[in-house]
Amino acid sequence: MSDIWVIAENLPWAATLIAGAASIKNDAKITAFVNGDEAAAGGAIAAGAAEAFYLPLPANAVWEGYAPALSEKARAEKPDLILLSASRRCRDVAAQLAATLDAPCFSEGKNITVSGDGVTVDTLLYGGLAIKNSVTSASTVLVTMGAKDFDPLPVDASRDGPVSALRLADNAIAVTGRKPRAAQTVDLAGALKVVGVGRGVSEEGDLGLARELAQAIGAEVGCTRPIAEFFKWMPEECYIGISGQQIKPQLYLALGVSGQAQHYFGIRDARTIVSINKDKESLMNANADYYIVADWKEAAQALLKAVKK
Amino acid sequence: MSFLTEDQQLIQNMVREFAEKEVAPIAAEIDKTHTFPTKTAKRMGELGLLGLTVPEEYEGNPCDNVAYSVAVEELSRVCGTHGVIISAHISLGISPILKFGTDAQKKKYLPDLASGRKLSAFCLTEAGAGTDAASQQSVAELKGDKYVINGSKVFITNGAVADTFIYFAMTDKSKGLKGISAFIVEKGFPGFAVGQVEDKLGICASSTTEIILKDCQVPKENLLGGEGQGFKIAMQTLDGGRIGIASQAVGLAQGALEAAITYAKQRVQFGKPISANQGIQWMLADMATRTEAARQLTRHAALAKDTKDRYSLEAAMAKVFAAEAAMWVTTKAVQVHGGIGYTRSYPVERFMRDAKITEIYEGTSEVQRMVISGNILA
Amino acid sequence: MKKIAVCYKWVLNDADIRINENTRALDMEKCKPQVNEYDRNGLETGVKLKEASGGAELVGITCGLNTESSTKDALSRGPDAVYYLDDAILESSDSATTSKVLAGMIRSLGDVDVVICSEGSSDQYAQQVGPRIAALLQYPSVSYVSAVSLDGDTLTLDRKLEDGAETVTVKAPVVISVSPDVCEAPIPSVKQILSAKKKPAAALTLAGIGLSADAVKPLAAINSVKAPQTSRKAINLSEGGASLDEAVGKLVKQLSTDGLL
Repeated sequence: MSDIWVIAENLPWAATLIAGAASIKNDAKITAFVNGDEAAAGGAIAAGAAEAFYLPLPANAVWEGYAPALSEKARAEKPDLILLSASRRCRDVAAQLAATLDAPCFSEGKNITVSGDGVTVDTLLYGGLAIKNSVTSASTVLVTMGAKDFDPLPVDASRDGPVSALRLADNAIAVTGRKPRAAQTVDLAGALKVVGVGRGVSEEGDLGLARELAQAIGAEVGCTRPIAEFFKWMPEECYIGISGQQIKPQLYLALGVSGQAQHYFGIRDARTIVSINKDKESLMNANADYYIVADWKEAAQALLKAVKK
Repeated sequence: MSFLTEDQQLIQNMVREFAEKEVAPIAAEIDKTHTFPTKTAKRMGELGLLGLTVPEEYEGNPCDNVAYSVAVEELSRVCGTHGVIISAHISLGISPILKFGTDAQKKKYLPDLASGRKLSAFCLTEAGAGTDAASQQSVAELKGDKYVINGSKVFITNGAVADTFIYFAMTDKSKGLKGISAFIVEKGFPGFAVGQVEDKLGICASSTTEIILKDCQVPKENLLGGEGQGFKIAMQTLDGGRIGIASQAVGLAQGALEAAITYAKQRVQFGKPISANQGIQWMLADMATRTEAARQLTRHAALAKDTKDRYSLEAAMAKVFAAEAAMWVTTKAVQVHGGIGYTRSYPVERFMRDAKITEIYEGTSEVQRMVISGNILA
Repeated sequence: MKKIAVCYKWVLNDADIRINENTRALDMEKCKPQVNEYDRNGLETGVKLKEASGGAELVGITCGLNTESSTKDALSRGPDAVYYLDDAILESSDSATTSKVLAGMIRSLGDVDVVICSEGSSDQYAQQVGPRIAALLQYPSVSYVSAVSLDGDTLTLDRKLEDGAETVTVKAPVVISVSPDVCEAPIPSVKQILSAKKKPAAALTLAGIGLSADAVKPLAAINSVKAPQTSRKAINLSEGGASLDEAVGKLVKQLSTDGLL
């Protein structure tokens, strides 16, 4: 194993993947492909890549339009391992690349090791209920990875390496509009404490109580997928789970959260989980460190009063 | 343990999904507030559940009676009220029209009922005529092209929410049972009124009322079957109704059994879950066995209805066994829960209250035993 | 527009998985197969697209083990016909194998203008099959689609991405992968269930679609599948009939001790 590619949604994620690549094989030649401008590619070099390409988001085409150019290059250069951001665009590119290379692709892979047998990777099954350990001897292996799986290497601005743009081929998909996500009002991924609300919150107006409690204990507020996507009571950036935010707070306080595996996936790295749910047998209670069997509103009011004392 | 056909299984799956997603969340609340579930009743119509066993030409869904039994069971597994709404509507309201109605009656009434646009009810019991149906005080007199009916009925399921009623009245008092006739009565007929609304122990969200007819004018063509056919129609209808109630009982037992298993596994006393105690294990084993036996007898009766002309014996056996199993299993489920089971924090006390009526309505357990012994001694 | 194909997976319902406390192995004995929940949104998207197309045929496509038993369930959710491919080699099928077989089936059906996949499956949730099929068929891939509209043979699609929303237009043929919020997946009615048996379900074979067993063999081997040890304590602060105030008091004390308040 000598060549590792990194394909990333943005520069910070690229830096994480570069650190991951270096830890998997410390003498690998790392080539980075970064969504962004020339400076982003330069940043990837400073973060540890030997060579970097920049793939700016095209104005009228989808970013996934780089997939054919990437597969053509991969076919020619045959990297041993390709690490990609587990972001939506990069997941799409990963799958397209894997199909054209007839290669295995592991989604959200962890504990990647390389040995004489090939590459072994852990992936999750059933929303994190089980871990599947797989091995492959394929000549190119793709893995998508989380944004915080590795700490970036120290930035070394003096590092030098070739930087160039990747060509975008003509594409059948035309982008007719983009609406940037409203400025991130919360940083759930970096928050030390998070209050999560679920379907037990039956009225939008009750979110005020959850916010008040969060403020009192110095927490951000997140939610389950239905609260954001179906009820639209909170911005989509706030939903926590396998397809949303994955958080690592010291305290996660779940209010009226049923605790389905898809949600638990996003909070499993929390240090302490507290659940308040009137359904004693809810999965969230079973997967918490501490739980209180109660109507979440009554408990939140009592907790608010106790904390304010 | 499932000998269901693919259609029956798919209907079971869809009813379970509906019951768990849309009925379970409101079951405790409607029980507490005694509120008829208008919204989910309408959904049952949209999903075709109110037209089970009815031919397509009347906007129904011609499944067999086993599938119908499975549907009632699945609804009752989360809410006894929903189980009795469709059981009363299909077994008691629709099926006599389907079996004894004229083509014109079927065309006029069945599409609205089978599609769920309207609900139906069955009016046999009177204050002084319960098991003793021959003591009917309701009287129908033919005047010109109309019957004029006077009388009142009690404990009518769907009473305040139905549009179409099967009403039994004497057309010839001198003939006793053979003087009873059946009529299709609409809510809008002059002289029709809903009387007292009952405040019940269980199935609290179902509508149980008095129905009062005062000089109620019913068109001649709304006579169901012929004059004097009423008792036969009532008894044959109740045979089918008993399969519905047996299915309701099985569902209540199943719901209580599942709740008890879950609770026993997670309730820790003396450092271990109570399910580790043989006393609890044997109780759960007996609950599961009686529930399954009740289910098999009930499906056997449904199959008998699908394949035989007369199935009174099978229906009575299923009804008495399932009702008593439901009462026993739900009571034990409360016992497994201990003190908390006696509160509304858990659904088992509701299942227990709902189960009691299955030993009473559509023929008490004593009446079922009369039917069974009458059959085997004949 | 001639044909719309919706891919669906026949998966085991994970709600009934039991974990062996000693070996951490998964016991799937009580799990019944069902149409993957995410794919129910895909099937309903197909129904809506068929309505908008004014006459396209809507087909469901699946492959795996015992998929024959999935056909009536799938047909009750809207397709005019279902094609399935059962083969023992698909027992531990990964995204690579599944997408090769599905792409082969679509190719052999011919005239498929729109392929609809969902975001992922409830078991592996690898989120690869849609874009893989697109690459294999050389159709454009549009993933994470949250709204679909059709005008002639041009689709307008909304996508949701980490940094915002994107609206794209693309001419058929195309593979789209839809998110659950694209539309609600209705519970099928009894009428739909009873009419499912009147619609055709046809078996395809690997040989019949021109694929050798070697061409679809998995690219990775599974060493183990195990449930991780959970470290959560699951302490019930309401235990023993504690009042709400008592339970909250215990929580505040505990969190203060742990330096979390």
